[in-house]
Amino acid sequence: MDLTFTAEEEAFRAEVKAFLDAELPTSMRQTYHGFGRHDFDQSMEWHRILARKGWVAPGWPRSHGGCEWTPVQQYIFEEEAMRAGAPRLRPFGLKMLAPVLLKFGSPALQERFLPPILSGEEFWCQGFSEPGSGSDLASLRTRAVREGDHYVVNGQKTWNTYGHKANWMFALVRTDPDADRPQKGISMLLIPMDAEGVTVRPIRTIDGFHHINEVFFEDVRVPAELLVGEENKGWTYAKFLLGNERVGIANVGQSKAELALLREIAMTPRADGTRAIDDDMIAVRLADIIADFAGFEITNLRMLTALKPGRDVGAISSYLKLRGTDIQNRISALAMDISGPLGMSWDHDAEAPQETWGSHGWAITRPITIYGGASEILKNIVAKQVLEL
Amino acid sequence: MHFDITDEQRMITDSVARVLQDSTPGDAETWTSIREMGAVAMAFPEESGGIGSPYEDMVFALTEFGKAGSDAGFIANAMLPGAMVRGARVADADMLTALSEGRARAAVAIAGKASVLPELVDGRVSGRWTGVIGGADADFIFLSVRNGGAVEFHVVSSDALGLKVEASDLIDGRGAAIVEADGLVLSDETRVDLGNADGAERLEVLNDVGAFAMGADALGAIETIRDMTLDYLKTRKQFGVPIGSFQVLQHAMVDIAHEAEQFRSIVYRAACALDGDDADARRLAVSSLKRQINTRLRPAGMAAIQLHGGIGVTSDYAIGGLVKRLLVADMLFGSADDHARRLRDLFAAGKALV
Repeated sequence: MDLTFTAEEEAFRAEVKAFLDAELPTSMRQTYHGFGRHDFDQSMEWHRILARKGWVAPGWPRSHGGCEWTPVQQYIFEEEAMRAGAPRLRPFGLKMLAPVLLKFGSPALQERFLPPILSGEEFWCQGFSEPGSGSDLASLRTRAVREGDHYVVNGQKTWNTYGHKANWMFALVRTDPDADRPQKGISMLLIPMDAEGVTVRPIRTIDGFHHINEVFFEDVRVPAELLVGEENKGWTYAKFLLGNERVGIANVGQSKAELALLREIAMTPRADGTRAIDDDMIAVRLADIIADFAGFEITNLRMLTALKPGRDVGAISSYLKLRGTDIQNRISALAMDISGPLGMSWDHDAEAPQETWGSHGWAITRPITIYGGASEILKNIVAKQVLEL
Repeated sequence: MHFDITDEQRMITDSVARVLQDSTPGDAETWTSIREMGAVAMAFPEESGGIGSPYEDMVFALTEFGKAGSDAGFIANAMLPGAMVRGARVADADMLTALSEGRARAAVAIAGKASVLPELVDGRVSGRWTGVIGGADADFIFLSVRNGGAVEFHVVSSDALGLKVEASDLIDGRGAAIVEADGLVLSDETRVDLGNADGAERLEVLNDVGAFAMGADALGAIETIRDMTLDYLKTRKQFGVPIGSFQVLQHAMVDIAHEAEQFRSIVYRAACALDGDDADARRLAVSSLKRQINTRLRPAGMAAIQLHGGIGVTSDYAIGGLVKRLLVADMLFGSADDHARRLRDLFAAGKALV
């Protein structure tokens, strides 16, 4: 094994840094280093900047406009981008749907949908969860009935992120209600959000923002050619997609960047002149975040380098998400504790945003152990698929 | 950046496993066996007749020792003396050859922090070094002492006048000793010449080598603990079904398996950092490993005993002994608290994860 970067990898890092120096807008840097959080528009603007450079899809094959970077290159890029203060790209089209289309989609679907994902012209949302189908996703009831060359969709999705911004949704729908197992009657359908019969209603979350929605379908007619792969094989595609999503939610690069922000908070003298970092009670908690991260960073690389491009990341992605989300939550919790009562301000434009960074971060990161597979579901998956219990 | 295992590393794994399969943990013949297979020489530098293997390779021997529940003195009598004499000279060069070949054994008495080392005054030292692993089996003892503001090392015969080596085995069956000096005479003859290397730095490195070695051993232990516990959940029946069918036990089992996987990563990181020349990278990796033994492996070991029920606390059953290895790995070579402070200091100085 060799945990040092090769000369080529270091050269790549230098190229990434030079690009970030030249192309990452100052406003985005300031948002991050000023203890703010990037909004949707900043994320999409960064998407378009990366698209112009040809760097928006690190893992896609070159034939489709991707970079075909190695896992290590992808890791270096993410680390440097997050450190510099770049927004995270929204993963729905780039990292969730695209790998599914590349592996299971027809050439026609690939040609139609991949280029606008790359350019940022079309934005995607996910239609998986339903009011009665959360962790038990396979029980979903949104119906798609084939009528001639269309599917007619009726039902309801929830916890839908950015449906109010999206042009398209990749949705899991029930096409065979009589299958012997619920998993066998599910298909993946691509639904235009401007189709007649689609209604989007906002859900406000504890962070005070509107990211998520309920989406209702009432006799929505979707052309049959917008079916991904084969009818009733949607569960297979969904599992593949969720594996990729979990690796993404592990957020290694972002956690490393946030540790730097946490350090700044812990190093800043407080009203009484003391620094939190000098307090041994704080030091122990800080040390354990560092200790876990130092191992987790390597686990992430071990697992990613062991995978071949396009391979199903499967159950091991569960370990990455379990530890990655734990670390993220502990970073914001410690920042909140250091700030104390000052951090309880609800004002998002406070004069000292570093004081509320932890508490707002708490609200933003709280759902990460729920979406993309709740921690308890991930443990069920490991118990069954890895430990064979 | 890659995690490929070399053929040599595979061979080390296989040879150590084979030797341990045929031996009783802890007996003197096991030392002879690992000496004959070349494991002792791995730990000593080439200039003293050893092989000078990288720490990365030693991971594969150490995990096998940990799995078997005995390192046969490898850490105490090979790795620590090996790290002690790297790039160093001693008056008795033949002794180094004998140590490298395993014909003689040495232990290293390091009492943790430089501030608590016995002081050399007018060529004599009096004081105690506790928890000296491998001390009772040693023909020679390397002693760490303070001399004015500096740290020095001396090597003396374990039956030297003024030195008392009292066996005091640890809870995991590992041989250890309390070493006591009473007016022991030290001189240029006994002094280990570190060349340009600083004594305090060498003391820190020795602690880190010890911590890493115990960690890699603990990795083997937690992997066996994981396998035994998983096997037990699949075979033990209560209420008419295997107990592994209960979700609350499944989740506890997943946590153990998860910790073993994460811990392997920090052991790799520590090994590679010890092979490198960046002292801060070494401090980050080793202190992270030590924290994880305390906060991750110990609870995993406790849970493994819990999942076994009563059988888990019987001395005939191996799991208790393996969990004791985790406890000893936690206690030796710097407390978890010391390592937390070192991580904090590194982080505050902008030398960790930046």
